[in-house]
Amino acid sequence: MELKSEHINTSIAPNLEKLLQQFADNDFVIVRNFSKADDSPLASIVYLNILVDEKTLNQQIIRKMTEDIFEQGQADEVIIESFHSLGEVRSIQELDGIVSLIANAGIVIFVEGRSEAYGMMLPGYNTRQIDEPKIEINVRGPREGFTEDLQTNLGMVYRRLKTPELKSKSYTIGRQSQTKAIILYLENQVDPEVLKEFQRRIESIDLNVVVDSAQIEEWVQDSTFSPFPQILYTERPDRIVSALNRGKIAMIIDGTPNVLIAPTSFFEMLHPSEDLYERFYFANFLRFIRLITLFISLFGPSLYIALTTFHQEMIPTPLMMAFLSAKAGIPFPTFLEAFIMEVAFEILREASLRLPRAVGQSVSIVGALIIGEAAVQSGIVSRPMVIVVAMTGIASFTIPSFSTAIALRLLRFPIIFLAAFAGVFGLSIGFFVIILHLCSLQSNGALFLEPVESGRLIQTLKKYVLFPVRYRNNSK
Amino acid sequence: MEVNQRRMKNVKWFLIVCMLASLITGCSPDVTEISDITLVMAVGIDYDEEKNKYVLTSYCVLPLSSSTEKSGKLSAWVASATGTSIYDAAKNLRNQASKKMIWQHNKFIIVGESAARHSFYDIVDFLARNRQLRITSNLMVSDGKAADKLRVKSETGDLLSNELLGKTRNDMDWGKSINQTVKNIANWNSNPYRGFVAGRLRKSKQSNNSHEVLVSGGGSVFNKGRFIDWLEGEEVLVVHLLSQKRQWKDLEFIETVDFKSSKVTLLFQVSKQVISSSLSDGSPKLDIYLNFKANLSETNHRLTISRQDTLVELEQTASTYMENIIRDSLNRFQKDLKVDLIGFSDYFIQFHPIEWRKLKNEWMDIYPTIPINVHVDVKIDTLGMIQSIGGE
Repeated sequence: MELKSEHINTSIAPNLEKLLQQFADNDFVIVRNFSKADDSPLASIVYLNILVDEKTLNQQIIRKMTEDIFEQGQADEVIIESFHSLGEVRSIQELDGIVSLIANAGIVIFVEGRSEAYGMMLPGYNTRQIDEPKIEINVRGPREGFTEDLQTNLGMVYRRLKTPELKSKSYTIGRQSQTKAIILYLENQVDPEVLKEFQRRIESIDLNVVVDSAQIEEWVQDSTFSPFPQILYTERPDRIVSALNRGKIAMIIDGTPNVLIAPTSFFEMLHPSEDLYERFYFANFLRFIRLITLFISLFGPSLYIALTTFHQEMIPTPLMMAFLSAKAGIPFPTFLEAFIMEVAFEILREASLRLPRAVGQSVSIVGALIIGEAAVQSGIVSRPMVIVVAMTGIASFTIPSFSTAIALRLLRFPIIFLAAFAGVFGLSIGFFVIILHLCSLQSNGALFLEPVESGRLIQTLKKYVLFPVRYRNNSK
Repeated sequence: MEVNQRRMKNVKWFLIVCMLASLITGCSPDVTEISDITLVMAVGIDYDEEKNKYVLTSYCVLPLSSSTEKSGKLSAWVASATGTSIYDAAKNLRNQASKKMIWQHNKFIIVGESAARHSFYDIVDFLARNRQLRITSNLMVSDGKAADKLRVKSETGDLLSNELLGKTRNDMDWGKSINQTVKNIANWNSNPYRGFVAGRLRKSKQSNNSHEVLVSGGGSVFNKGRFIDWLEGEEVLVVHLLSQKRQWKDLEFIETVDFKSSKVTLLFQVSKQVISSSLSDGSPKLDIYLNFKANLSETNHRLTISRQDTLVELEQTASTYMENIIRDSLNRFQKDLKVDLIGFSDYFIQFHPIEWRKLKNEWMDIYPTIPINVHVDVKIDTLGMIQSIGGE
């Protein structure tokens, strides 16, 4: 949109003409005229009827203004007074400001004889009700989730942090979408260097249309080619508030409920907000389990392949005998079995995401039957392999951050190939490369593997293990 | 940004290599699929004196059939082959094997009597040198040929190797059988001052069963790399009692003691064992102190065990009984076999190294003359659930 920084004419008609030219082929621009007794123009209100709350406009604003004109005469001061008394009004001198206000669900009033126009925000579009986010479900804790409306989201955060230290900066991103984005931070806790760098990155964004925070995430993150996400996103206000409390920066974007938190560390992706709401024994137990499932989801099938094809002497003898009888007569080598099962599992997972609800139940049963029983019975795969693949799949669901989970799902495959080629040696090479990569990754100034950075085990454990609230650093 | 881009390039290359690696899985020469292997669970080594050849028998475990059947039972397969050396015989087995033989899970090595008498050094050398055999395998000597033992039908229908495993675990419950690992045997075989006891395997026909079964009991004595003789159950018990703590810590054994014209059966457990070596005027002396805890198991006449002095007498009788057993066995070890199979030389080497230098050249002559004093103390711990059942 080419923004004309033209000034407003004192007469309404040429202004309206230029404005309607901008909004040509747009059926939704409405112009409401106020005229004097002799039908000369007094004032005009322009708005888009799909965005503006027409009911309030008609019943309150126009009615009041008409009454005021009727009572106090048809002077432009009356109109301006009356308009000012109806809401928060800003005066606009230039045409591009008017266009942007109208596009942002505002009404603009031109007054005959004045060289400035007055505008007021009056959004009237429907937004989703606040309900529990579908992916991040808690047993205990607040159940509000962000919606697509920026106002509502901001309200939810400000309601929880009633301190003047909570600062915000707003940006408009996207040439044609003109999406509003706001970054929030607590001034006394944020690192000013990180903040500065974050702002610099946002200002350098060059996008046409912003649909989701993912696009902004790609601009703001440190490394695009890493499989791991470096910025956390969440739909829960309580998670944002705890993150802000820890000195992080949150970015709310209009039109999407996913709010970004930067900087993050890898281990924060593994901890849902629920950890803070349960008793600390339980929370630590679950943290420990999640660490185990992290390794299972990454190395499950590859460890099985490596041990059974290269290192049979490492398997205890009774287990070895169980494997012998389970794998007799299977036509495929272990690697191919694992590959087939893993791909089938991924196909099932993708399919179940997009299934209509009516068909969903039956397909999951059929899928389980096909993959489980029938494959084993027909002698295509062995039972231990089904167990390993199922365990791996289930383990990958325990990771709260979906993007990290899919990163691990993806990384599983190269490690399977390496393990099938070189046994545990190949597996450890893959492991080393992943660790090296993670160590070199940074997230907006903080090291990605942040708790592990201190060389001593006890320090790392202290940061990973959750203490009762009283003994935590208040920034944890 | 530069460094980051370089690192990302490395990541990209790594992922590309991994994708390419998917095409060469299976190309590695070390790949062995489980469906192609059979596990060797027990090995028998025999020596044929006339032909001067070794006979190696392997007891392997195979899956019965394809995995779609619910029972995934494994079946056993026994095969023998001869060769000029043990390894040669093992390789000659391959012409009968239908699958690749994996030796790393082998836990039992059964040595035939003739092999033990004629070429034990060769056997220990092979076992210790070979990388695929576990050092913690148990070595047993069998009466007669080892090949026959491995062909015996198992009692319970389970695999013979599982049964042997159970039998070795029962050592601690019985006390009259012993098992040595190849590691200990390899260590002690080269020791010129001491001998050792390995396990013993026999076939015996139980009265109501129609076929013979394998029975482990007793021991076999080796000294300086040669098989000397067999040991009976009681003597093996004494070996247990006088060995390292691992051998008697969990041991429980039964002895029947004659007490006041009735037979009293007691269950013994060792609570303390001290063997102290000392030298008096340059001649060595040993003192053995053993403390037992006994539980009364059964009697065949009524005993007035409610009285304290009866119990004290019983304890003394039991102590004397144990002392006699130990002395008799020690006599046999010292004077008949003339083998230091408990390792008394170690006590002198460790505690009196200076005097040992003078003793060691004549150790073989001195050993039968060493006075060994045995002091046993039995404490009766529990008396069971009843005092007496009426009658006599």
